[in-house]
Amino acid sequence: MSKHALLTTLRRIVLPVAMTMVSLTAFAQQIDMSLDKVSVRRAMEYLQREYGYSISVRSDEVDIDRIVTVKVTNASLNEVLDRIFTGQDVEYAVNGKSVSVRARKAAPKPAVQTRVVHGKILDEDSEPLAGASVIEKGTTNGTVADENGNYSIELTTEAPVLLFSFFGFADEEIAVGKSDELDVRMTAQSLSLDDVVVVGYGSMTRRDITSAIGSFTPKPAERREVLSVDQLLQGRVAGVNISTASGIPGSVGRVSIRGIGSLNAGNEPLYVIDGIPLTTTSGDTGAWTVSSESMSGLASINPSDIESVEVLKDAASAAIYGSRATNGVIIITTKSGRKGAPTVSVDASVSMGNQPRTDKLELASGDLLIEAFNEGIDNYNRQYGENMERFINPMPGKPAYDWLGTVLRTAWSHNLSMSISGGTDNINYYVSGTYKHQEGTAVGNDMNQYSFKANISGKVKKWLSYGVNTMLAYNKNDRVGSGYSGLGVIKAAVEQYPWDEPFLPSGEWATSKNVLVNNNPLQSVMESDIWIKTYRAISSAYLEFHIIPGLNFKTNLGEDFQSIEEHVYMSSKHQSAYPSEDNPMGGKLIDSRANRGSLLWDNTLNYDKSFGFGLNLGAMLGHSVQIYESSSATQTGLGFPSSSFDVNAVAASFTDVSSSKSAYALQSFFGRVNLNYLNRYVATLMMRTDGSSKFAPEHRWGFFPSASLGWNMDEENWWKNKDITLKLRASVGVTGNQGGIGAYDYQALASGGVNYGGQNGLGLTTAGNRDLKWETATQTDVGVDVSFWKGALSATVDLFNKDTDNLLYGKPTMITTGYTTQVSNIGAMNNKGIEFSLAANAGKNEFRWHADFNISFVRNRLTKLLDDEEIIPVGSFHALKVGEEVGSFYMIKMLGIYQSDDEVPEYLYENEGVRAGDVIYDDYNHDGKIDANDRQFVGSANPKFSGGFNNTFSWKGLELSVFFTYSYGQKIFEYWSGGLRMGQGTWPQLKTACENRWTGPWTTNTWPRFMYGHGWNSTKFVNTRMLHDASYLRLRTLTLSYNFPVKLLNKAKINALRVYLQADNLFVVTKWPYLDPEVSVSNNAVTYGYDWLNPGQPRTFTLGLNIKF
Amino acid sequence: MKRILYIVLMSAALLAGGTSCDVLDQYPHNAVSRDHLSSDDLELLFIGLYNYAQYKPTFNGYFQNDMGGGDFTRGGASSVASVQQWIQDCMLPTSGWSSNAWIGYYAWLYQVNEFIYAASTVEQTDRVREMLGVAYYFRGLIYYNLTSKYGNVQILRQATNDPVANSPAADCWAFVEENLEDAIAMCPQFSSKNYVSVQAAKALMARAKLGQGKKEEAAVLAEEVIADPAFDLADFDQIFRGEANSEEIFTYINDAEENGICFAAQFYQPATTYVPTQDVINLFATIDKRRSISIMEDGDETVLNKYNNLTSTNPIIVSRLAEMYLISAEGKGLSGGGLERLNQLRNKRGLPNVSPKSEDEFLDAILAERRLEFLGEGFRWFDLVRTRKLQETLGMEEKYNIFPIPQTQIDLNPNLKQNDLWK
Repeated sequence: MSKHALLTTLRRIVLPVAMTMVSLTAFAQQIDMSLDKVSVRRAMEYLQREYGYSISVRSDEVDIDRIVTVKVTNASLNEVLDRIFTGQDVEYAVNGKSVSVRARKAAPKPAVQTRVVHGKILDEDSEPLAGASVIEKGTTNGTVADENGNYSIELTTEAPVLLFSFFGFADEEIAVGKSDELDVRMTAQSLSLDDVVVVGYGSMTRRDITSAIGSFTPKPAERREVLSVDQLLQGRVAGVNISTASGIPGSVGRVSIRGIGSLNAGNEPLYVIDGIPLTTTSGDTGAWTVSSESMSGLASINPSDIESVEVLKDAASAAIYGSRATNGVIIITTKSGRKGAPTVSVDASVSMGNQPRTDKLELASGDLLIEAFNEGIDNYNRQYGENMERFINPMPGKPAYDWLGTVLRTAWSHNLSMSISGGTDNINYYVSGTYKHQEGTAVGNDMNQYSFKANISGKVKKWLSYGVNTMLAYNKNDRVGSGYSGLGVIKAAVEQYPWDEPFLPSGEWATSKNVLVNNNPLQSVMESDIWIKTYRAISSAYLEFHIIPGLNFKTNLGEDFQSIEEHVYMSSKHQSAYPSEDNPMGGKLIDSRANRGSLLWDNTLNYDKSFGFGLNLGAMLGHSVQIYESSSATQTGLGFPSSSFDVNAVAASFTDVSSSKSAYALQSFFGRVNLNYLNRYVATLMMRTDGSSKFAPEHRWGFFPSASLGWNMDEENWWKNKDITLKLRASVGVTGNQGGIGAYDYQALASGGVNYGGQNGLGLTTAGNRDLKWETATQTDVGVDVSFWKGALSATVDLFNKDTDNLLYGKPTMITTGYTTQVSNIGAMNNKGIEFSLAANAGKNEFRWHADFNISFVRNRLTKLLDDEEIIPVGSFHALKVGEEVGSFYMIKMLGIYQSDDEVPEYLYENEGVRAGDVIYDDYNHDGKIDANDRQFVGSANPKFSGGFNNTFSWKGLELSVFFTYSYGQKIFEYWSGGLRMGQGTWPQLKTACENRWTGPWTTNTWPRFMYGHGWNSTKFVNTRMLHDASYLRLRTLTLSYNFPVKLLNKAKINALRVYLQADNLFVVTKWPYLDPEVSVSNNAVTYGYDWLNPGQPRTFTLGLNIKF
Repeated sequence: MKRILYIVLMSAALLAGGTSCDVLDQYPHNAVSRDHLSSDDLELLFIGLYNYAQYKPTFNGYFQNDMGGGDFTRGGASSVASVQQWIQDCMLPTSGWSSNAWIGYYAWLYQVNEFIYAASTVEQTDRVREMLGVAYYFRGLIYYNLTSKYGNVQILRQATNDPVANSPAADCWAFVEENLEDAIAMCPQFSSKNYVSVQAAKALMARAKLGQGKKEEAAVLAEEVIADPAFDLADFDQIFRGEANSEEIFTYINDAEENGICFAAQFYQPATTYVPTQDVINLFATIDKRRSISIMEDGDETVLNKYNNLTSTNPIIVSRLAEMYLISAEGKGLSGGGLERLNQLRNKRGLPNVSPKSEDEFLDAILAERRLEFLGEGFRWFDLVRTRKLQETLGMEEKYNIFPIPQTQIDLNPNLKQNDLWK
């Protein structure tokens, strides 16, 4: 084994440092160590882990595989090192907590030159890297950076080259130029074997990981101005497919890890924030879901406080969260302080956004619309021999009024956040505060967010440490109608006649009661005051007892409280609250409150032991109990004397007054054993058992075991090329799911509130199902991690197969049973896929290039469903069937357009009035008719493959980062079809519909003719005319930033200053003909993939700066 | 010392964990397990039947006969070329017009059957007999609706999970009569229009007899109700504007707080989903006292004005005396002296007498009267169907004389067959 290679592979603890000797200073810390027959390396790892030393060893001079026994109590560092290096002639250099070890030699000859170079070593976030080493290449001359990252080195050679290194970061080799000042910004190495990876109830280095875990540590260049963590994660991790929420700030996105986890709505991964599994990701009370999109509770978690995100993808890693891990686990770790002087960091940005692609929804002008309508009337009159009057253009020649322009705007947003972090030997802290104002592109839609964070950890005694993580957030979200609603701002704006305007000449609202054909969108925004206030506190506090070396007990108390106030006020001039018989004053206020809280208590016992023959053992045992409770209350007041009153105290009458309560609890026992033999063979075994109150006592407990193995081939003695590392992994495990079903679904219930005439009544509300049991998924995963050229290029490939059994689903039942659905375990499905990610680093000195690429292919199939024959249609255009993908579209297929009457089958000609210019539907069952029996599977809204790629170029302080996301093979159904009805009814039509209409043989084979009152082409059947390919390639972000030179800043006592310009969603390449190919009304896996003119994601330009001092 | 502390702490933790198993027993706050129901709960379940009865049919169920009868069409920008077109688009096995009502009736039936089962197993006191009578009325009402609309439907005498087959329409009608006979025998006497009474059961039986063409029996029952001193004809502004009157025989309170259905939102601006056709609007004479309550101008459209509580709900009338007048008239026929009842009603509504010359003309006059009297109250389509006038009046295919059985239910039950005309 070459010594050089050893250095690279053991960089975690063994830094290639040689340095001038410094006499060992007395050091106060008392050390306990009881290690029996371990390698020198293990002993040093122990010092590093337990006492926080950063240790460098010149491993070409010192034998680190030597087996030693060290048993000391209350010893000084010097004594401990003496024991560890017994029998080796070494010297130590100690600088604070940095220790370097080398063979004792004669001091090198003093150099002729006495030039001194100094500077600062920083990470990408401009945080100082205390303990980073600097060596003059080709010599033994070296030094270590102090706690502010400063170093100073006396040069000894003619053309000096300095080598900088730090664990977890790529090495830097820089030739010293004329200047005596040399600052270095080191790049964290992604997919590095030395990365610390957070796993459930602990952390491991990537070397010891044997399962599929994706990590994302947002670097400055990769940050986006987003509201929630799911948006941050989009396109960053292979196997994690995220469809961003719509352009309404705070709306819910879709996150799916390794395909579809479940048939139920419970398809979201489990989010664990600093050890607390979130029990709710909802951000609203449901009071206004009829008119708007659901809001996400994740928006309460400030993305700028996030240090890293780990995604537990396979069962072997996720099984530690047992029952809630089927859809994967997203572990969010927030920032914590590092030892060193306090660092103050201030981020400020301002951005401007607008709604792109609005040209796709351009309305037909009055003249065009009337021409098309009248063609429809003529066609109707001709076909039926009628004499219907033609339309007359009320304002010929008038250009179309810009309705979209009245409800859309340029959205201005700004963001200010500040954090202070630092630490001493006994305490580390990170505190931050953020204010964010984000406007939506629709008028009246914005979100204000205030959040505070404090993470503090420290040591009380040698045997006791503690920590507190606290997050407080307050959001106010001013909402407008969107989503599946007649009051959606965009929908209502494109359902207007082009000659109409929002105001009458008198200044009154134009309404559907006077001149308009549909709701006035501006009126509904301006005559309402609709908001949600969310208060959220997520905190945890732990005590950790270091019982004996290697044995620790940790008890952790956590909470997640959320309080929501939802206010939906509509004045008497709002369409939904006009004065009426029972509400003579008009006006309406829905006042809805919800409180959701969960309490968590975790206890874990950890044991680590190194055995002399090279085996390392880690074991963990734990118990956890989490109780979730929610309550809500809502009341609707009617009748408000004027719009200046907006509390229900003044309401004339009330309706819909109710309150509710719900609770569930989860109790778990779990354990994990990690084995590592000579770093070559690693294994992890896990077991978790969960009991859930959602199941009957006899089915309450679920068992979730997993096992995984890894082989670090490059650690083998026969491995020759040490520039290449290679690891093989294999895992199998079981996870469970209980999400998406009600808290009491197993119980047959008689519910109250079924009242009549003011008398209490009961109803038999659910049949219950005592046979309900856990949905379980068995997942196997095989993976390879490989890196070349000392990590300059690294790649990870994973293959997985996931079989989900006992799928929980509201099975449709005959209504003669009393109910339309019964929650049951109805079937099984399979997801299999391949994930591939690649990271590359190139360039030297001033020019750097870093690239990340990931792609994942997932194939989902339903493998078992009731009696396997059935097709279960879901909603209006989806169905479930064995062999098909979950979420498949099931509808009548359009084949083209009849170009002549002769082509029309006789039955359709006679009975349906079909003629040339009408849509040809596929008569799937060949019975001559077109009806529900002709529905077929026509694709799905899930991509065949998706991913992202990022390129970051830096030159001196300039950095350019280009990040794309893509998704291929999914389809989206345009459920809104008002503007595409081609003359059926009198709906205003889109310009494209009018311009492209069929006007004679072979004018088009995709758009039908205009025909008055003819449902065949639009509303009669749900058909593929509205189903489009929604594959896309999006330039997610383009960021240009500049880091000011440190030497300039030092004069102003500033550590770092970065300014950046970021463009988000600059363009999207897609065949989707409307606003945004990513939006969907529903995130339910079974009915996913339809649009209702939700506002699309904005195109945003941000100017920001980050300053540290 | 410290080790002892840990041991104590850990034992405490594990003990707490071990004993906290009962945290997993969680029960809802708004419901009880059915196993815990007792005979004391019978009264509560009985009240629950009314709640289900009023909302389960859904708006579609209440409005099916108006949708299919040709007197309404879609309003606003969704307007259609003709009512025929609209009916064709609505009357489909996959449409909510077919499925929502069917599902609602059977969901309601389940509650009724479970109640009948439970009430049959306890001591048969007078009160239990009364409650059972009301339950039979509801079952009769459910099957009247099901069989008059869908023809051959599934007869369920008690709740079952088995895939039940359809029964011939004649058996279904017999089942309607059987239940209403029981109801007439067991229901309490009329005391409030909001609760089921013997009189309500007779009124419904009269309707069911007429529906089967048993005209004489229908007329006898209708006359019995008319003769009851509790009832008298009243004006529309009393009936539909919540004022005290003696015309209503049975009316659901339909309170918004009690799952009530808001009808008004379907008819007025800004939705105006369903609007009366110009034909039926033109039929209202200016002297007709029903006119202003039946229709009104709202913005640029003429809308149905019977259900005017836009933000909450209006009561839903099941039976009122005017129907008894018209059943009696039709049941007796011109030759049997039915004209008197027709003209009594017309006079009450501010209209002059009519004097039809033949039975056919008389029937047409009655149908014309029913059309105006009950606009938007769920009668028109079945009036045309039972008198075999649908095809000639609307010019539609024969299959529109019956609603298609919902496709979803056929998909779930292999024994349930589609109506022949819809195959």
